Amino acid sequence: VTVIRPRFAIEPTPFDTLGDDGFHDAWERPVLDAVAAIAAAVDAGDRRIVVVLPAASTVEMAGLAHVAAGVEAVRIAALSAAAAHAALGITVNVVTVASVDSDPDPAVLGFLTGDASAAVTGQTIVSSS
Amino acid sequence: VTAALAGRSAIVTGAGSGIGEAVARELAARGASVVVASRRADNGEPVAASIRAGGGVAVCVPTDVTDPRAVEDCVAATIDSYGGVDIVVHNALKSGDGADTHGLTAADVGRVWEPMSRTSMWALLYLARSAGSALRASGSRGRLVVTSSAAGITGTPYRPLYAAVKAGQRALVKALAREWGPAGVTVNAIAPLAATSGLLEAFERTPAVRESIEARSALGRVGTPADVAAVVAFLASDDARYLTGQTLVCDGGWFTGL
Repeated sequence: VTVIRPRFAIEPTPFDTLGDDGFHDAWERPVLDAVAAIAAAVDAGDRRIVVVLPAASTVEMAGLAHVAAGVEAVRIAALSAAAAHAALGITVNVVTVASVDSDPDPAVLGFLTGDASAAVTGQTIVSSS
Repeated sequence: VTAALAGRSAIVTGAGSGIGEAVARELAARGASVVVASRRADNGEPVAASIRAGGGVAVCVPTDVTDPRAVEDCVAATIDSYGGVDIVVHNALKSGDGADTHGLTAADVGRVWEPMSRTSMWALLYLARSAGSALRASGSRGRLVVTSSAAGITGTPYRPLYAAVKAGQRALVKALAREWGPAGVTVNAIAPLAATSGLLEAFERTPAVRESIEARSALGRVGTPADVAAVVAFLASDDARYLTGQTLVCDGGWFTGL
């Protein structure tokens, strides 16, 4: 089991004043880190991979375009990985939480990392607790 | 076709061929003054010349969208030529070097990712920095249209990094729509499927690809760049003034998963 939680800094900045470093930290770094983490989990033989992300409703806001882009790219990278590895019995799912500091519902996380979710993959579950 | 875009200026990136070229031609046909922003002048100049020969208004400004200074110069040239920027269509994309698949080494991921990220996402940042204030000054005529993909909605095991980049574009469009909405600017994406040169080459190599697409398409055909350009022209028009933050899938009903 691997739970991947990319870190995003929620610092509202008008997109047209955003610097290169801010875009790199919100876009390039988390996406490539997440892709690498998913690949490492697959290589390690993990059968359950869960990616925890802030909810779209949290980040698809004015001033957070750069963060929204990174979050959604990671989510879709996870869905692509789910489709790629399903035949091997590996599941990849996404849990979204209310903010970057929120923890997912333990029951949801427990389900997605347990045997009962063997046929659940490529899904996004909203968990706000 | 009416001159619904008369008096408006438009920048179209990746306009030297394919969908970008068709969009440049369509916007010009509807009265817009167009900047054909193509990385290579030998692609863009003939497009602009052809538009002018047909009675339209167009100039080619060779622009490498991965170079922030080149993007600045393109926007400045547009303002110098036409007095402002009302419409930006960001269509440029450079595919990565190598196969886009799972299980790549970090170095291979970089080679595949970097060109796509630079041309699709970093270029959007540069366009926003350079043209954002001009678009907002256009108020309710301001339009940003981004060429994304249905792969950015669903993900795909076949081109996972491409799908991630296109997902990033879609999310950015939604957030930027909220950011620029108070000024009246609309920000939308399209998710097209059209017979561009790359797809036609794939059809040549593997005819089954065309048959597969046609079989799944509700309209039973693979669209043309002109089909897609008509959708972009709609998004650029006053008729789409209340439509923002959306991804408009224009693929003949190939993807109907929304």
